[in-house]
Amino acid sequence: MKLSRFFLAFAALCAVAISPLHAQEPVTISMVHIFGAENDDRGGLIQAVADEFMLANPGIVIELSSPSTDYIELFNGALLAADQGQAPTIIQVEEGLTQLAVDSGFFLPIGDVASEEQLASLDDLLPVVRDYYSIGGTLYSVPFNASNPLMFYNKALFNAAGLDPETPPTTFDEILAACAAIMAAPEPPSACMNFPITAWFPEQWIAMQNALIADNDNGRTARATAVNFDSPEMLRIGEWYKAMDDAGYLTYSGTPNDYQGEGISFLSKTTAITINSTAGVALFQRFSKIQGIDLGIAPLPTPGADAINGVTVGGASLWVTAGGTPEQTQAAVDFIFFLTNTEHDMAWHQGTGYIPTRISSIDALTASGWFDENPGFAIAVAQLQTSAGNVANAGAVMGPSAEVRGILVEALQSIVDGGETPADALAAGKQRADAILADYNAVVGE
Amino acid sequence: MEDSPRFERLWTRTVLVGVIVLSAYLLITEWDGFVRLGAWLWAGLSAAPESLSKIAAYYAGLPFAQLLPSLLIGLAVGIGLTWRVMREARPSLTTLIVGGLIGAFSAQILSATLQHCTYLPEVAAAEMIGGWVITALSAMMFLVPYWAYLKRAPVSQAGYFRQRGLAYAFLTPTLLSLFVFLYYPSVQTILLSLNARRFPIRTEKFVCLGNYVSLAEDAIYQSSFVTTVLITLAIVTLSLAIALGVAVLASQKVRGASIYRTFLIWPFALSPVVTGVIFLALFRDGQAGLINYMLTSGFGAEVSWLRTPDLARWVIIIASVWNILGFNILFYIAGLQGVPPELLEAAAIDGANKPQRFFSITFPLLSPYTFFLLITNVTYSFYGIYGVVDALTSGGPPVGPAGIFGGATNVLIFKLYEDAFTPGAPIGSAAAQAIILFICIAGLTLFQFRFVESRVTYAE
Repeated sequence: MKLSRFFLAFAALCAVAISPLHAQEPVTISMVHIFGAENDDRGGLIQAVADEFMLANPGIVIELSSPSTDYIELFNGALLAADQGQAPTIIQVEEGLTQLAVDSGFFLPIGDVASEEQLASLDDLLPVVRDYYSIGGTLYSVPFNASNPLMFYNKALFNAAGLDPETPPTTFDEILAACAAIMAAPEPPSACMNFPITAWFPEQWIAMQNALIADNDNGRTARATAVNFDSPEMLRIGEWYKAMDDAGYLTYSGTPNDYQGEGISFLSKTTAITINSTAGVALFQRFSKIQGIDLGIAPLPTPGADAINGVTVGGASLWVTAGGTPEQTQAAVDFIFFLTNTEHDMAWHQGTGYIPTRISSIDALTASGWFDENPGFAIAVAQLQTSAGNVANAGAVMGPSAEVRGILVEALQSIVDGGETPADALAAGKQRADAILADYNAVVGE
Repeated sequence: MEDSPRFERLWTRTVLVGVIVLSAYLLITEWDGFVRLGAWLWAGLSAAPESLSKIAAYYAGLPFAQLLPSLLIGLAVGIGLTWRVMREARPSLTTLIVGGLIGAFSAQILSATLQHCTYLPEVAAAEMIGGWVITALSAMMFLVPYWAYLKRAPVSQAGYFRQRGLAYAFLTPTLLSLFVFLYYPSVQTILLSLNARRFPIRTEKFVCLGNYVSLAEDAIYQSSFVTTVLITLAIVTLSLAIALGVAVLASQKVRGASIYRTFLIWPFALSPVVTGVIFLALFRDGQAGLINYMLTSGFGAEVSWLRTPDLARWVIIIASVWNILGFNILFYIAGLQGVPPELLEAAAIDGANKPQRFFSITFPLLSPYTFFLLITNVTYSFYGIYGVVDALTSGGPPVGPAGIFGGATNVLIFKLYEDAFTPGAPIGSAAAQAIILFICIAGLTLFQFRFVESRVTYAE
């Protein structure tokens, strides 16, 4: 008896002690991103912005975490957690998962939950960046870390071949010509060029030719039902892969999408030219110094002088999940806009090498002379600025885009490794990809 | 002193207290988890009446023509097999009829799961036959326990537990974890394999055996199957042969033998993914790989290991053999230590030379080890090489234009994983693949126990 009375008293005391905390319980939101690797400072940059936000908004607690450093795992994990009612409030989603994220119904379109004022601030975004994340006229997410491909080359090998290292090749044909010279040099590298076999580069080259990857306006007016792998524009790309491979100019590590392995090959001077992401600029510059390479950086070469439509944007954007309280959703939206405002956009670019997404931050960075000191970044930004904002370089969105991209990779592999003709390989790739799109659309339906 | 009852009592109590403390610790630290588990189980239990009424409604609405074949097949299987199994005991008519009824009832388990869809009039031949097989298998689910019951030993001969309640109390944790982590997911996988679904979207459509039929017709899946069988054959043969050779060498009495043995076993401590990464560093193209770097510096030529279908398969095989070799060596060394030296000595005195002694005495005496390793190595080759393939080739290089005939190293487990966890991929088909893979492994293991084990001599 005594004991239970004591317990009651204790419980009452506890309740009294806790209640003031309850009275002003903070709104807690969580955000997951991929920058959680050891020594990855980028996670710290986001944390710093979150701390600043929490200082300005004492009623809000932001919990950052990085359960995976892989976009796909992060997405899968977050959605499985959402199934259990434990979804993070903000998820960083890779560009290729856009349609799937829309179809999943797990997310709130930013266009529906942000204030007029916040949405108006997005007029400041580079058009090509903003277009990628709008589907059917609705803006679904706010672009965060944007990147695109660049060409890196070894100036010493250009000199040795009698080429002017200050005027790097800009088209497919110019690369073939430059490679002929490089491989004819007295001490040629083992191959002229290497780059990851990936779907990302062909997607750029299709956009540059103002062509579409998929029907229904790249899947943006309605779900894509067929891919255009057999278009003359894609065939032109396939023919270039074949020409490069037949002449012995092209090599790759044997593993598709091996950005790191291809970077290593180039930095160990086995090739003269490579293509990689803007996200790798800092690494290329650092290791070139160690390796004694006079590094040249140039825009992504185009299929030809006629291909002037510009590149698409890669990277990831920030999505708000459905299922939070109105307060949580509001806090999440506010934080996303805080994280991507001009000031933080500039800091993010300077700290990571991702491309600034706002015109105002590009202007400010230009005025401060940042791009004069960092010509590599200047090229990446200029490349994105020249992109005409249209449906071609908005890029294609498809639900099963990971599978479709995988098939394009296999089509390209079968050209360079399997000796297939580009026409056969791309036609077979279209057949496989169309079957997958049909199956996806039949299951997911309206 | 040690045998005194007092010491024993003390010891028992210490263990008991330890177990209670540990359980309490687990309960407190994982309290939320237990609460959720309890809530989940309770939700399942409390939904039982609702499920029962759903099932009743389902059967009420089911056309009799669709139900009848499953009942007949169950009845036939029940009577026929009960007679065959109990032949020697001369079963009574009642036993047979009860068997038939149990068969007919038990056949409904999987048939109802399939919503009797294979007995629809317009169904394709392949699906109809598949449906018969599944119904027959389903009938076995309660028949097997029934036969065990009929054949049970008399109580006087059988060992039994005095306190039944205590026995079940001891079984509860195991049964619970089996249910939560094995049975329930298995049932979910079967259900998923009957639906078309795109991971991670929740919308799904019932497609009957459609996933299985389209897998059977899929050129890529067929090639994946053949690739798996070929790679398995190569891995098992090589890993067993090399391991036996190395184990014989490592069992020689040389100075520092234990150190050699430790080093030999070490690769097994690495996960398949790490193995894959190590071999990637060796076999990469474009001079980023060590082997090609040496080949270029030495001979001025390089080999496209991972870009040529046959070579890529061999790289996978070699990496996997290297990975599992230590495990096999470990068992063979243990086995070799169990070979009685007097037998070898006697054979030597009879004039048998070294190879004769090895093949006539040592190898047959090792057969239990070989048999065990055969099963584990086959299982490894089917399931374990995912990491190696993922790190080295990602299933490539493609065969045929754009890989319409599959990938050279796209083994079943890799394809399954890709189809299950690539965003937007067909997870229903992946579930069907998981079931097929399970049937393959179960079938192979049964086959090995039936036909290979008869050649195994177990020592006394």
